[in-house]
Amino acid sequence: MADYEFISQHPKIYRAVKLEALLPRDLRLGFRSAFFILSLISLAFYFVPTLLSFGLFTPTVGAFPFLNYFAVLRGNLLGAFLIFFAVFWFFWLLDFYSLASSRQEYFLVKKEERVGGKEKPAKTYFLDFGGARRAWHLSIFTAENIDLRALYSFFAKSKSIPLVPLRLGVDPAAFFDFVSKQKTSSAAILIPRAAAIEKLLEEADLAESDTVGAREFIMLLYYYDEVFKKFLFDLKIRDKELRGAAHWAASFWEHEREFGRWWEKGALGRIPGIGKDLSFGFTYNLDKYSHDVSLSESRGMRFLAHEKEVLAIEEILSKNSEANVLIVGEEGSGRSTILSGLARMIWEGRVMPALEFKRMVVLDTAGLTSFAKSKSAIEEILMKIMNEALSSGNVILVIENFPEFMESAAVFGVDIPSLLEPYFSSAYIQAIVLSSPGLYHRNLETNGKVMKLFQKVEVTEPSREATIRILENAAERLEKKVGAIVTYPALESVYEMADRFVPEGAMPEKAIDLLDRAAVSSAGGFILPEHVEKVIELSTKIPVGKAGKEESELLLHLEEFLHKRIIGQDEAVKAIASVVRRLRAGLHTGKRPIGSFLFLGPTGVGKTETAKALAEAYFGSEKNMLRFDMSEFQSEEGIEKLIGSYTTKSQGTLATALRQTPFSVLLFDEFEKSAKTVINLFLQILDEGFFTDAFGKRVHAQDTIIIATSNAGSNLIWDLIKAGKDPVALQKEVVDYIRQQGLFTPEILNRFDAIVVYHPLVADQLKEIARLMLEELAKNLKEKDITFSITPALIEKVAQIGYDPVMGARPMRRAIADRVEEAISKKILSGELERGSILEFSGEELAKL
Amino acid sequence: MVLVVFFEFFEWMYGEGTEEFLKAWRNVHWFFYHFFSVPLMARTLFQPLKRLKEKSGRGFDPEKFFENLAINTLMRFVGFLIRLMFIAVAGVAEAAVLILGLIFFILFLTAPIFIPAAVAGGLTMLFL
Repeated sequence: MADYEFISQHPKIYRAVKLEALLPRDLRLGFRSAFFILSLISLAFYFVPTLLSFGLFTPTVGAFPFLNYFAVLRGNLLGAFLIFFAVFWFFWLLDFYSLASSRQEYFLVKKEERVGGKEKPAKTYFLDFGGARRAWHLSIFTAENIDLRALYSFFAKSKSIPLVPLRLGVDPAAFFDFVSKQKTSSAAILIPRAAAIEKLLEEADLAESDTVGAREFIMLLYYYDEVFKKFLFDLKIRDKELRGAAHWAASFWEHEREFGRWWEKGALGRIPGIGKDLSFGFTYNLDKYSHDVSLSESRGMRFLAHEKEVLAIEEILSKNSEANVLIVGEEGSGRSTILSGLARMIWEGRVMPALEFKRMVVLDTAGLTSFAKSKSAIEEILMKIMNEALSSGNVILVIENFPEFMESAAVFGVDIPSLLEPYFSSAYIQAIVLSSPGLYHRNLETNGKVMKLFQKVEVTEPSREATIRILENAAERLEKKVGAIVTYPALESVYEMADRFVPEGAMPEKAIDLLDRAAVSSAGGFILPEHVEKVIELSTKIPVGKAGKEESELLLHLEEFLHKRIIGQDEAVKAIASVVRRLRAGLHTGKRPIGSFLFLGPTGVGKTETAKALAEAYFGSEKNMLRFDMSEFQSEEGIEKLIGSYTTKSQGTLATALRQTPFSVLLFDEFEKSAKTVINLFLQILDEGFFTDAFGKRVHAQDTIIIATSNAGSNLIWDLIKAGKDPVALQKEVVDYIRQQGLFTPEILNRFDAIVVYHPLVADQLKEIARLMLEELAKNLKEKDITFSITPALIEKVAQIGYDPVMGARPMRRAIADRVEEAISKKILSGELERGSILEFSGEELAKL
Repeated sequence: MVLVVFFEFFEWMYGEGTEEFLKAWRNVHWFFYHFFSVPLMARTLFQPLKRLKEKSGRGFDPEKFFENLAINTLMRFVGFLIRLMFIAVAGVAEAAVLILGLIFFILFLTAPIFIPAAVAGGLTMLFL
């Protein structure tokens, strides 16, 4: 049990808590505003006679003679003003008292302790206003045993609480119904104070916080009150959601309170000053080819996203010379949020002196290169712009897509780094340039000038928690626009879904974008996880909403599903199903592909059919199978065909296919024919679930099932089958053979989740395949109201004509088309077959097939 | 409870409350000082407006020299006037904050007397 010591038994914050219990703030503010307006009105009327005495309003007085009465009522009006003003002043003082007394305060010190042999240092905890209100209701400093039921009475009275049910998507009426029942009917929920304190501190530690607030207390109730837990459980709310929603609501209220203390320097300093521009020069040319960094993105942000990066940039820009920053990050990873955050800090004057009064200006590089179409024109405009930026004295030049700008200028023969070097190395101008990691490595890292002039700041993707905080801010802004409440589970779903199903782009932008789209799909009220799932379903065509239940059903019966299309190959089907099940049972990290297989075996035994069946089973349709014939990628140019070419600017087939269909089965036929560079690419894909295309952009493959097929070892398979080998032993021997022959490197063989051996088909299996194909034909004929009778003799005939020892069952479909379908079409054309007829081939007809 | 809150409020008012009020008053002064950019205006008081300056070319051309001198002096003078105006407005604002702050500070300190007295006085003026 945690050993702790209260810093004070009577914290000063309790003064504000008691006032709040006596006279809630909304009521106080209501009175304050009402009496302020009344005092203003009475004062205005008091001065009416003074105005009239100037004689300016004589015609008005003529029209409204009652105005003369104000002169008579002056004494009464002054009296009314005094009363109203005194009452207003009383409420103003109360609010000043309440706000000034409700700053968070020292709560207790947890003494150092030994946990698992490790020394944990002492830690001081604070109590914020929300926490103090609950602590007071529970008499946490005085009672030895705490009755948590008191929290229900508090909830019933408190205004801030509806926000928690709302954030959970729970109807506040139902919540308060429950609260009022619990308040009166439930028995005392007594727990020792030490246990309560321990749980509160544990919750604060869990959130890496040193403040005990509303969130910690609601979690205390959740932990000890089974009825509360059951109430939430029935609404499908677990501790995770409750904690998140409570944190969101609490941080909102604490921010509101902090915002209320307008007289603090932090709040006043946020109001930007005027007249700063007067001391800096005009920038006519620069203004033509630029715009200021937008502040809208950072408006009302409670949470400074990418704080580490913003502070690093601030520090670099404050240097005496070469104060230039190179921001390296994927598009959407928060690069513009960083710029907007810094611009806001400058605007509000919360920066180091070197950055005070600065203007962040984004250069329109596309406009510049498209307008000036020659080397001399580009150089002339750029020099003018730079000279202006230099003489104006307050410009921080921002160049987005710097490598692209360098490149497009280089087309005209302009060497941007050399041109800008004299400016950027001076002490009078600062610059921020942006690049994606891919282009940074390709174009900038090798450029000595660029590396000397700029200091790199890498934008890392925010953590899950940070992204959720950013989403909370975005949600609050969105709510004002769409008039619906965003629930916390919806935010979690947005994060998970964007992370899992939106491979393009970076966090947090792709999550914010998904949230925006979910808001559009909701029809007011609440924005719930279902709305997020609906958006993902529409864009990916994957039923993610019910994925959990349906997927487990599918996984359990995957063999049956695959066997509907694949005849025989029991061992292969079993191996694939068990690997997929194992991977999906929680071991899939989300970074590697869903599954990867190497299918070995002769042609026409069902390898491609398995890939199609997996695509149908897993991604809803066999159209989600992308096929690549690797014999096309056996030369050294093969890699360029797959990932694109930077020199020819052509897109790669694999990169394009994955961008268009990120949720798919990728089938690579004749895999052994791939070039070495292609195999190396696969080493990365199978390991990390992504690759970088020729343009430096990441292409994700973590939502794919990768199947490579090969005929390697077919001869051995035939030999072993002829020798009557058991199929299970066959698997091992073929794989060993492949390893020994060195057809594939051990690295690539080890990367596959499973190597599956297909054996040649036997007569019965061929008949089964023939039956399946004929059934497909029968289905088509049924649409024309013709009943096609599939007899054993017909099946035997098709199996016989459609089998080739080398090609397996592959010619069967062709045989059916050439012979059976041909015969049927002749019958239809000759009028022999009509709607409603039954078709059955006679022995004679079968012989002719 | 009412009495507890009442006495705690009084205790606060003549201790931390007074301190808080003075701090707020000082912060508002600080705010107007920075809102009108007084330090920047003072630092650049004699600089030309918007850094507008005519530069002399190569060689010495007396006509051009005096022309530039006249323009640059004028620009500095205009800059000086505008900045001085800002500083003057800031001075007025600061004076207003000083006077209003003083009035409100007196009202703050005398609130226990002022509020009942104002209500009583107001009622007298209304009904008597």
